[in-house]
Amino acid sequence: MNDIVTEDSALVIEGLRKTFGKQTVLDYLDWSLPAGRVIGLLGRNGAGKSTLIRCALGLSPIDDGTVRLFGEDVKQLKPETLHRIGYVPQSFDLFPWMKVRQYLDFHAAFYARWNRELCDGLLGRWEVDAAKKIGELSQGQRQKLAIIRAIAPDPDLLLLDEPVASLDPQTRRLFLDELLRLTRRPGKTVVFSTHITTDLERADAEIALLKSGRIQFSCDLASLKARVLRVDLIDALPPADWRHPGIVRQVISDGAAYWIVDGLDEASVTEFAARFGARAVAASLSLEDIFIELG
Amino acid sequence: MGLLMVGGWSLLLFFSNPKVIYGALGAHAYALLFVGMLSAMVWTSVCRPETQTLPGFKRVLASVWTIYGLLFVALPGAMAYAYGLDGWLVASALLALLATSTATGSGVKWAGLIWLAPMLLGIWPDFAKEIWRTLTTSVLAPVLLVTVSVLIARVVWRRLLIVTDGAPTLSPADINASDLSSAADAARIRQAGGLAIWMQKVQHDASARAFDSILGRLQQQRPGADRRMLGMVLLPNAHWRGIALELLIAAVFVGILVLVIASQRGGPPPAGMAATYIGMLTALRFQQLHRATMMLRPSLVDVYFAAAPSSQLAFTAAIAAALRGALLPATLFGLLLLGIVSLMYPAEQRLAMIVGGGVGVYAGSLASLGVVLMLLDSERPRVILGLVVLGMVGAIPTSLCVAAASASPAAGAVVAALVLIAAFGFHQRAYQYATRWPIRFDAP
Repeated sequence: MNDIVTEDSALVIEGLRKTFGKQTVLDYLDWSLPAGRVIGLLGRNGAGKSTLIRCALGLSPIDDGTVRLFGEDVKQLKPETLHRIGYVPQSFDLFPWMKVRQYLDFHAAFYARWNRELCDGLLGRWEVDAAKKIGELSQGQRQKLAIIRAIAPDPDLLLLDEPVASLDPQTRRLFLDELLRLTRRPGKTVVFSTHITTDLERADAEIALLKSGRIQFSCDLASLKARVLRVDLIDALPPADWRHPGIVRQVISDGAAYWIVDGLDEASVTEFAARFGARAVAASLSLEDIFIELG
Repeated sequence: MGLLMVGGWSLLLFFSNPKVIYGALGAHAYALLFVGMLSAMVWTSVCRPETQTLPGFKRVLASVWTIYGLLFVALPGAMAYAYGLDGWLVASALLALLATSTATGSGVKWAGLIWLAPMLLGIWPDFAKEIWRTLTTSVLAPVLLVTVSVLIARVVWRRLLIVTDGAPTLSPADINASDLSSAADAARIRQAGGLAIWMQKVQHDASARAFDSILGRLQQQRPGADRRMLGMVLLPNAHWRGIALELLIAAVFVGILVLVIASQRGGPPPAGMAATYIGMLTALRFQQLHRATMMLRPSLVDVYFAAAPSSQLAFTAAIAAALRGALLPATLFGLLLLGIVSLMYPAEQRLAMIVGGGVGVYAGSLASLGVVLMLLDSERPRVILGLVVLGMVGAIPTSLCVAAASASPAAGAVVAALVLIAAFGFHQRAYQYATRWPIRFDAP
């Protein structure tokens, strides 16, 4: 279900395996990201989202597989390729003694393209005091600063690990809108991991689900919603132990029954229901419901 | 541990010589100083606001204190009683010692002053004898010691259970810094009061000025500016202002200490012993550097992307090279201490101490940094290993150099050369070892 690997893929991962002791976190994972997409990496806590992002950037040693960023082996990235990447880690602890302005100037000195106007504008709009020491910022403000630092060099690939986890709902919404407005441009690829499904719906991002150490699917939201449905069975109930490929879950409760189906067309569902003398009524699910059912 | 303690003390029953029990009690008291201090440090790190909300947390802490009381105070007291000594007095004295050492380890601000007492008593030995006589003869002495211990323990208890919301204040990778990075340490700084806050502010301002200066060079793309900036990020106080400030503070404290020791009737300890201790003290600063490099690893990602090295190995080499910035302040610190302490000795010993000891602390620092580099890739900080290894690495070259220089200039030169060659060799091997693999960005 993954996209076909193309010449202009920003990231291509093949057979990635990562273990921590006896625990396998990423299990021969394949994933490719064509350039120019905004992708939400969805997964439950502990699914390995942060590990996947760190392995994709070559920041964590891997047990097997290959990772290529902009066509280059991640272990041997050229300096100019490193400057095409923006990364926002989940936590941000360095330079507590440094003032915000110093921190940004420090990074600006290294980058050939550094958007100072954008930096100053975001500091103002996101209410991050440039004169404050980083150690004095709240967790949310630090996260904002890390994002400003990541997008100021205008990266071609931006990876954000739970970028809005520390923000309140109002700020999160404003912040995500602005972030996507800034980054959703031709040739720019954005990956952000999250388990907040409403953010993904609002961002209209492609969804990639990480589960059991693999990317289970990667597709746009509309396709996903068309694919995963709730089918209520009316007039009759199926046998309790009835199973069929494509039916993810069957629930029978209080004289009613429904299926969660994945990838079955309406005709098939109607035909299955008819076997028990039932009628099938399909309804779409919210992304949160889909995540709960599939995640 | 309890079984070991009981077993150890029980062995004494096989000895009839009273010197053995006195010796055992002395060793126990000496060990208790460290047990109390180190335990209190652990308790301080455990007693966070979050952990204090755990059910029964205070009860568990109180249980630990009770066990400590039984093992380290009641048991030796009972053994002393079994040998015909005043068990109450022994137990109450040990209790006072335990309370005092835990007060020091838990960061109670006046606790450090307690250690001035034995030094001052050394200046007035007659007064010390009078106190000793009163303590050993008065029936109220145990009551007084227990009362003082309880009062100190109450302060420590409240200090441990204080709820603060301190934030990181400085890069932890700074062996010059007087504060560390954890919330508990930040709280300790605030508790220490005006002088500590002032010192911290001066350090921060000095670091900010040095940073701006290097940033200017970096913006002008001056050669070597990126390397210096990496050093600044890792060691924010390893610049001349920061080093000067630290040396000034060290000079004041060591100066007072030297004045007190010089005033004592027994005179100073042997020069070689003092120099060895300084070498060890200098090397132990690298334990903080080791701990800090572990803590900084995840955050170095930020610098990695900005600096955009040609490879991760090149980045590792740059980090290892930048850490060499810790050599100068460490060596100067050791030299300063040697210089001040040497004032207590005759001129010929003074020269041997400064020159021989200077070479020794430099060699010790080189080797200690080598140890830090070798542990760069370890999965977690090696505290005990680090303390033991660094202590030896600091003490041995300094003692060798001072001993040889005291014997004759020629012997001093030969030993200094050998020690330097060995230290350089070890350091270079450690550097090569550390840069064979890319640096880990994983948290320890």
